[in-house]
Amino acid sequence: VRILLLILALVMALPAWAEGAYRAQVKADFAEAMNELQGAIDAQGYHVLRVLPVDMGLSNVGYAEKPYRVVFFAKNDLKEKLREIPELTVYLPLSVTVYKDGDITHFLAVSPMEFAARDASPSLVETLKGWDSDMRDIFARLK
Amino acid sequence: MENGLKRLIVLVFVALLPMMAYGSGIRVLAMESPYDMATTVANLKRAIAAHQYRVNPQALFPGIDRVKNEIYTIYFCSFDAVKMALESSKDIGTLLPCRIVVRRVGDKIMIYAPDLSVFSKVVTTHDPKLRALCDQLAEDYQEILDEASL
Repeated sequence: VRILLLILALVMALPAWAEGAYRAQVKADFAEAMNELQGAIDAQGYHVLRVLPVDMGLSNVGYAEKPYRVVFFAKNDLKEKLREIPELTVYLPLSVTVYKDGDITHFLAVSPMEFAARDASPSLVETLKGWDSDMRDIFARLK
Repeated sequence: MENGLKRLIVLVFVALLPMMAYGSGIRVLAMESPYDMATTVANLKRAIAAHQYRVNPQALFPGIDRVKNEIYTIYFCSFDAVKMALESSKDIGTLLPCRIVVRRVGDKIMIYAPDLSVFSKVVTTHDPKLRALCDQLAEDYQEILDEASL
């Protein structure tokens, strides 16, 4: 029984990573949830560059949508990384999608490891692993 | 018949060559443009509009996604498609905003677009409507790149 409990505890402690994606949800007011995300991003040494208000874009063309944002964030070395690997420009800055569904605010992100092709060099894989680990920690703080 | 098959294989290989990521290690659609930066950007905007998307004229990250003569990122959207997709799944936001990047790399002008398979584990395509939208977007990305570099 102890072993089973230990396994259960380990499984529960695993980050919200599942098949290339990070997911978390909080039962909180949307503004509060956004603040929580901002805090988690800051704590990981990143800064928020922009919040894309998808819901507002939709309402501007006549569609009503519940709060729905995409939060972009980066570290200070973003320009340097994009200079080193120009192809990353289509995936960076990293982002987290935030949306409200009922009482629950959901957070969702793609694992940066998904950007890697089969021919990724060990140094690129290391970089992506670092971002992936950061994303895992950000999502762990949202639990 | 055999020669015909060989020719077909060579043709398919040659056609796919420009779509490869030039060994960068990143899953991305990549194509070298035969035009200068300004013409490539103009061609892309025209091709995007022809596919019924609305081009966002603004940069989202000034100094990062637009750098004079170096980087020009074009953001675009179809609000109708986004609304339709959100009715099927809220996860579609990870694909937003749609973007194509024009970059000077050495003496080449390169065009990059996301490889939508990167998002395939996030945006579930069990819903046939959402799957059709994602397939359409992937097709549009490829066609826009092709049309802009004709």
